[in-house]
Amino acid sequence: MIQRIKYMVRFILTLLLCVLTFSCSNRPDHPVLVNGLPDIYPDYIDVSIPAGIAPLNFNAADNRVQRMDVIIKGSKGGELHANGKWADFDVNEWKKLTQMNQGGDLTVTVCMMVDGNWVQYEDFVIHVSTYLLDDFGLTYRRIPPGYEVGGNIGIYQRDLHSFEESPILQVSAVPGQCMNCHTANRANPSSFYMQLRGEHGGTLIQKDGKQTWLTTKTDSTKLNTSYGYWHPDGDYCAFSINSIHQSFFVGKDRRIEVYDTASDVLVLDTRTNELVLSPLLQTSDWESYPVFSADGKTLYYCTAKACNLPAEYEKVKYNLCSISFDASTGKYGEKVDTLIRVTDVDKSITYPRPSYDGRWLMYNVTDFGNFPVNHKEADLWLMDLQSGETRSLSEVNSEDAENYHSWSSDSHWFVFCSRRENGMYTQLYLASIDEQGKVSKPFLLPQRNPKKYYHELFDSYNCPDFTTVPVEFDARIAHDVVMSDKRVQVKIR
Amino acid sequence: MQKYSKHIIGLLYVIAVLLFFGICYPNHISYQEQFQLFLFTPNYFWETLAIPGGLADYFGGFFTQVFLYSWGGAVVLALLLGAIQQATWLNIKPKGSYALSFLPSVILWVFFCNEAAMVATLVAFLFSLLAAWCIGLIQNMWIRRSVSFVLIPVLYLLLGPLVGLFVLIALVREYKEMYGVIVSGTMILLLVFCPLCAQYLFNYPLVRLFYGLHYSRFPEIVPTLVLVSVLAVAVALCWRTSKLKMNGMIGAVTAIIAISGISSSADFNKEELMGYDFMVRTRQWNRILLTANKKAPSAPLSVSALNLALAQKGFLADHMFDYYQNGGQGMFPNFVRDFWLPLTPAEAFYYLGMTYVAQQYTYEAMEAIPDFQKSVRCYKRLAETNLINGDYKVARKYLNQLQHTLLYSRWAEETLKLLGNEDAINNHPEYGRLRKMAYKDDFYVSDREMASMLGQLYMSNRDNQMAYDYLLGWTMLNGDMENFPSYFSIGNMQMKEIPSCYQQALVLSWALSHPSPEGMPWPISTNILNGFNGFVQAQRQNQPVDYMKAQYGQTYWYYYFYSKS
Repeated sequence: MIQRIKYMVRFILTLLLCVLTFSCSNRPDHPVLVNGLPDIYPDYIDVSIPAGIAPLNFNAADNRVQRMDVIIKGSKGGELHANGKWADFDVNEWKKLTQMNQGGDLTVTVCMMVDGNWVQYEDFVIHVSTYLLDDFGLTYRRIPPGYEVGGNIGIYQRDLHSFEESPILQVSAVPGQCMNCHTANRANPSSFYMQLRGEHGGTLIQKDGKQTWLTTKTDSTKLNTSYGYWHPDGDYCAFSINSIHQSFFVGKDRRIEVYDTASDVLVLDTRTNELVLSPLLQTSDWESYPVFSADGKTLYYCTAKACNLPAEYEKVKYNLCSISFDASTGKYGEKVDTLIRVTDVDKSITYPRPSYDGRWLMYNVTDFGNFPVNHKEADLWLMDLQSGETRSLSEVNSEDAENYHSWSSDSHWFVFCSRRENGMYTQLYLASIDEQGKVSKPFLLPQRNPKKYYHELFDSYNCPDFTTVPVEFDARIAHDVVMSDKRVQVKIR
Repeated sequence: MQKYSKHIIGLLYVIAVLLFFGICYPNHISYQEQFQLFLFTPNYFWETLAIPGGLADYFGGFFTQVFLYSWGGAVVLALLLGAIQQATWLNIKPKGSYALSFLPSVILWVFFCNEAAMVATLVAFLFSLLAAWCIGLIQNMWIRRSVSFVLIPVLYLLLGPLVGLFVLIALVREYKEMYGVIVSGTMILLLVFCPLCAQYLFNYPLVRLFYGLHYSRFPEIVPTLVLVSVLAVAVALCWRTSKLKMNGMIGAVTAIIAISGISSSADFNKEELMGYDFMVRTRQWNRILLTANKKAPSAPLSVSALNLALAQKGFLADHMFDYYQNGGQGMFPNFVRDFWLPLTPAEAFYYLGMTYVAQQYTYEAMEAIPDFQKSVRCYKRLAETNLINGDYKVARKYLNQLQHTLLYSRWAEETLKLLGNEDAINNHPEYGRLRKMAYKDDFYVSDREMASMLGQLYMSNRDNQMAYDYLLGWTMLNGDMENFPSYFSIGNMQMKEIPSCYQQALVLSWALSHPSPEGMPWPISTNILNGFNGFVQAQRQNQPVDYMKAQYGQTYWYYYFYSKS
């Protein structure tokens, strides 16, 4: 019996020794130091992040890397360690570390094991911004980047402080319908609208949990509403009505050109479901992409001279204009101001998005057209609404398309889509902006295992928006109403 | 012999199913495989399992992989249908009618004559029957009932609403026992409760959670025959109490149901179309020609497959009017938002060198799959088009996924080695050639400007004989005799002899604008000239259409005057 116990103890000790030996080899012991920064995916080197955001887990870009050992030290204290196939940090520990180092830096030491040998790279820094990001997270649409067929579309929300994503509405709940442009009022989801296209299409206005499904096409406006934006007081929604078409190319330079052959701008009074029209916004030119200023007194929009499409697609260029709007009377001003003229810049200005603090206006610049996502040259630009100065946001722009930008509720962070990784699938990037308009290097939306997640994801992200709290939406009610075709017909005021 | 008769009959049934699908219906089998992307990854397993009926879907998808080989699929279906019959028998024996045990399986066989039927149905049906039989082995009534109560929601999650079959058998078993009514009622409530609860957990309409997410490819279609097959199990269960056995008569009725059901459900026109598409997919050009020689195709899809095969073998210019042609649709069927129909035209675009158009058609088809599966066929083609176009990062995404498949992993690994290797791609017999054929300029795709698109494609690379043949073929099919000579003239003038279809079109175009053949600038053979004179003569004599078809049915002239719509 004693002999048996001895054998047992010996066996357990041997086993422990093996485990220890094995685990020791998983830690870098006298790694070879190399000059140069580690090649990591996503590129989180020198980015600025808000304290409390989900961990910036990363992988080695090189598939040969067998293991990583990462140590993060905060300039104001704290340390984190990750060791594994990729840098996978504990959510709570990461949160604590970033909160402790708000306004400071995190120094990241990366060791990678290739062919059994450990290599240590130069340290890099992640800046923890002084600006918090208090919003709960993001809402966005995920869609296969196809042509005409929508595929498996869904609108989702993502907690920015963890990796949790949940669907708000998926096409499986409303079969055959195409969903787009879920938009909350200044990131507050108590009011939002959503467009549904298809046999059972309609416009949803949800206020304080109550869904109202509208038919926004009337005898005089001819088309359903498309791109929209809330008035800050929550009573009005500005919309454009667009006759949207798309053409496809045979060659490599462009895949798709989306264009309008008619478009106007109008405002919907969501209290009475009435459309407020103005002859200044319903001209023979094409008006589109309306947005209200932060104080709600100005309506920005884009306008282009009508062209013969699709033949003259390269001639379509949009100006940036504005018109005043009085929410108390529901009336527009009597003159239109042109903020950026096509004749001055020889570019097309689209998708204006004013910051909610009234300081900035971010917009897209493309060579032509009104649908930046399909334009490789699409860049983000920023207008200082105090000085009127404009500049390209070179800190965030890339060789590929940037678009669908949106502001956080405190206007110190913005999210945008970019095709920079592979030219096909758009991904979400976040960046911060300070009072002087200095913009940080953007970072890719964190994921638990980013390489695996993004490389296996066959959806594009679009229409991202911040949301201060989780979106409450009853997909079952939506299904019932959508399929029943019960709609409230809007009227013209 | 008597002892083994049941086994022999069961075996004969399996063989009958096998022969039907293997010989009569093979293309419906291979058709199934292309509309899924079964991955051997933990993620795929858990994601599939996370939806009601997920386990049945997983196994269904697993089996469907071998459907690429029609006999492989036929074996799977034969074994599953045979197993369902045996499992039904397990549940009704010894008092039940052996002949009736075939009825549910036969109805499912009929169900599988429809291409929308999914293998997950058979898996769910079988597992449900087996679960019910296993539970029946538990002697202790209360343990059996308790396990049944637990299993109902579990099986709903794993197999979907076909757990109803399990409940049905349990009801029949428990109804007459102590507190049978209460137990049965509870089971029914649990059964209804499952989809009602599921609607709060899963993003699907309640109605779909009731009739199943994985039994039919089309979410809007209720799989009625599956319900009928469940009812057939109910009949078989009830028959146990009957004193009438009538095995012979039931067997005969089952056989009649099988024959009449299959003959009314089987769509052999679709089978033919699927066959053409499969042959295009697997590049069996000679087989397409042999098939067309036996029976000329007439639908746009099959004719376009035939024209592609003719072009691939270099016969299009000489022989396209040897076969029935149905206009431009027979070369490029109109794009429709469908998950299958755009795939054959996409193949034609691919081989022509219009890789971006091929990519568009392929992608659209994949995204139109009604149950939102991805397509292994489309992934493969999208990897190829992206590779040819130099979009290596996107190609890598597709190839990385294909590495986790059973039948495409080796191909994916080989193709991954090409990414970024310009020399290897440029020297590749297919990808290198298609790269050279690509458009030099960019412009809009337009169905209405197909001649211009083909012309520009040919002008981008004058070695692209297929583009030239398609340009002239398209022009002939559309009866554009005004432009035919000018399109013809852009071609390679080094040809020894003008192909016969082109000669016929040239003669016709000349005749339509000139009073006599004098001055015709092309070397037209005497045979063609004589033939045309004979044709004109016959027309002047107002010969009946049948006569014209018999004499000139394989000429362009006949097509131009009699077939072209």
